[in-house]
Amino acid sequence: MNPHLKSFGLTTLMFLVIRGVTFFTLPSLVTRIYGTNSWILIPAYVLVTLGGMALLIKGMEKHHQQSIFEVVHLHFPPFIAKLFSCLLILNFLAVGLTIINEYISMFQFTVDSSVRISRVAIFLIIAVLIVASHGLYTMTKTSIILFLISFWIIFIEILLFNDFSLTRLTPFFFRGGQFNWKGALAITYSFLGFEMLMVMSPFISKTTKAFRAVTYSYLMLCVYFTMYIILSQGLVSILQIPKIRFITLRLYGASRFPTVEYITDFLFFFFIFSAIMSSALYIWAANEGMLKLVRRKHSRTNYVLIGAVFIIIMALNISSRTWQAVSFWVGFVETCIVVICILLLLVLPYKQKVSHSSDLSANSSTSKDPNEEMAKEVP
Amino acid sequence: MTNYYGMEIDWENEVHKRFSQCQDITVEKLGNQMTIFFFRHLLDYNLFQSFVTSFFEDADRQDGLERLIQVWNPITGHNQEHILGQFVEKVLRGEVGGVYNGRLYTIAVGHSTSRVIMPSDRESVITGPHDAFTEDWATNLSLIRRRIQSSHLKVIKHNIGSEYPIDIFMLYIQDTAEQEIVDEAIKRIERIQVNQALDGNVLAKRLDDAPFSVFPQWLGTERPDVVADQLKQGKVVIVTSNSPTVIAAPAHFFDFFAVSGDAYERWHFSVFIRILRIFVFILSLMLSAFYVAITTYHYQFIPSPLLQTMIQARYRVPFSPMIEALMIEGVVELLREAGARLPSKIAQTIGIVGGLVIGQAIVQAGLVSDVLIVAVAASALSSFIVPNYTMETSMRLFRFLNVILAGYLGYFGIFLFVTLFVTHLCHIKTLSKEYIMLSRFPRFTFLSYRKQPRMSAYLWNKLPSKSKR
Repeated sequence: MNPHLKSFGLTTLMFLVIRGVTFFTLPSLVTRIYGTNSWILIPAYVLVTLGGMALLIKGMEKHHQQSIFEVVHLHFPPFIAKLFSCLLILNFLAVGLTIINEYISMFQFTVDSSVRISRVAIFLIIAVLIVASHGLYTMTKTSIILFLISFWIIFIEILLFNDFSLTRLTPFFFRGGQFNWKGALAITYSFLGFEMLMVMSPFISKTTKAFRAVTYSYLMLCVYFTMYIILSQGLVSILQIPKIRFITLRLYGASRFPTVEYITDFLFFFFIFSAIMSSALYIWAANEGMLKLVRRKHSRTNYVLIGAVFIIIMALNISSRTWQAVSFWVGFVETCIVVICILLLLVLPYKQKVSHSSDLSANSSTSKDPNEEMAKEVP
Repeated sequence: MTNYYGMEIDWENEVHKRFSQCQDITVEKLGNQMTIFFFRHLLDYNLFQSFVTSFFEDADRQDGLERLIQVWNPITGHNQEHILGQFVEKVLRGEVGGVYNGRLYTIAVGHSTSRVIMPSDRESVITGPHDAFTEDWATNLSLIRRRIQSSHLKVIKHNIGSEYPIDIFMLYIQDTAEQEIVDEAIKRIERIQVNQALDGNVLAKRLDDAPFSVFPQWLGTERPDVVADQLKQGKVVIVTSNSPTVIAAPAHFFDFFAVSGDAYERWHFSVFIRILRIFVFILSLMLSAFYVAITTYHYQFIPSPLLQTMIQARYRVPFSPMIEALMIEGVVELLREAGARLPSKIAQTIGIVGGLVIGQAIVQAGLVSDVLIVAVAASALSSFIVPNYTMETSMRLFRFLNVILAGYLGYFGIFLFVTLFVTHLCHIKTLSKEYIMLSRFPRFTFLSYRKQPRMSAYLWNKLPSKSKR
């Protein structure tokens, strides 16, 4: 049996998951929507997100760390519970897939335009599924090491970035922006990730202060995002930033290393850790939901099926514009789900899980996922 | 021929039948009443002779025999097969068996000569003790007992042979080793039944948590000081008869980068060398792959002057960097394997021939570039710094995989490799405990929990006395 998650592991995992891949586009998006010196809004977004997370954790505590799938199955008739679970599962899978697609698009943009997305995606999908199939505990441990491997990159921007100009920042706030709700929502999606706690809660140690641990992740990300936006706005004119899709990569291009020539693509690949962990966690969460839906629990079969579906979708000839639209709507549904789930957790009364010995024995004979065993012990 | 629980059996004949066509057995008569059976090469024959003679020095034959038999161990059992089985087993283990007055007796009279205690070739150290385990389990246990002179050091003997006895000895320090670990180890040992003599390394493979993993999960060593240290850390150790390799678990990833000699050096150097080993482990895995990735896809990474040199070095080479790297890595493996199998003097020659002649010739023939030779040589050299041979061999396999991924996918392949490598490492268990634990890193670096700097204690001492109160 695996131990439960501890604070540091949770902090690093959530840091990688929330960072995901959207932060490559975040400076352009924020500048386009809010205009000059819009970096100041990042702490505000973080505060709103922390408020949402506080409510979510309150709800989780009320339900004695039951996962959202358990809560739904305990309170609603099977048909509604299954329908709602399916919605969550589909959304989680869609988020996982859009992260993979987004990263591969950037890969194509950064390295070589002749890269075939579908072919490279297969490797990434396989890697994500392997990581996800190892379970939450392994993912958390892995995230600690990957975090330590990749965290130093922030210091490159601080120490080796010479093209920053204060005059480009201007003394004005929120000038030149073209505000629209769609853009503002798209920025909100960059801060999502905490909703995974709804599924992870049974696996978190009772002594772990989840809110504090994830808040540390958000604070680090707040510094991270704010710094990148300030640097972007100090590197490129306010008029140009919205036209540059992956402005963060431009920042890396502007960093000068004393011994090596061009490190943009090298640094870019360090963010594959975020992409993989982020996608893997969403897919793992979807698998957890799938395991609740079916009587015979075959975790590996689920992952193989998910992989096959992902590869087929990636092989379809879908334009990047369509993918962008899909990403937006997936984010929108995700935001709605977060709001609904928080309300459900706060409104619904706590109900104790009725243990079915026959179910448990069936699970133990078919399932090989160590996390499942762990979940069984949770009240 | 008399009674044994009322049975009338010709024991001498039965024993003869059991050892028929075993021409290395010695059968002697002591007087007319006692017949003894023994394998001369399994015991100390001189000791045996002086032992027997001592009983007959001041007594007549019958009295001497009576006195002699009193110090022998009678064999008891519930049926003929059981009694005979025990007798034969003890004789095969190097004891002297005797048939006297219709009963069976045995006595142990020393061991046959075995390899003397010598320094280990596999784990040599410059400073510190040089003794190493031998193939004799008794010698091995004595080497450990000499280092841990405590009654808390427990030894559990277990026979894992399914057809004939194969003894293993599980050691642990009571109250230091977690009971959960001890129970788990016993449980696993009890499951093993083998029908062939096995080495400690083979036993380790049968006890692994993840048998398909490339990484070793039991620490194999030939050094008693390492074993003593492992025991003191609360680990379980298994000594296998006829094997100089003793295995310990739970083995943590960092244990494979530790050398007992580090503890005997000044701590500054020990800390430096241990950090260097980890760095070099990463370098060894990555260097060839980086060369392949950079020269295939990411040449913009290389500064212009170096790029010119690399282009000049590569323009005659007809192969892709990946094939080039795999070729030279293959040659390095061949040389290494040849060096390991040949006698040491010839192996040195092979090393020189391989390193200088083949290396030079292969570049002049235009098969590989000289920059790659530098990269692969540095990578190979790095791998030698990893002290544990099993871990080093695992690393060699991963290097090939990494080169192939880098050749097909560039940096993307390398980073995928890193992610999956770390995930796999994090997933492995050793005796149901974590294989990689970051909390073990300070212990690994500073050699003990006591020696690691404690920032809180330091700050506490720096605080003014008022605030302390």
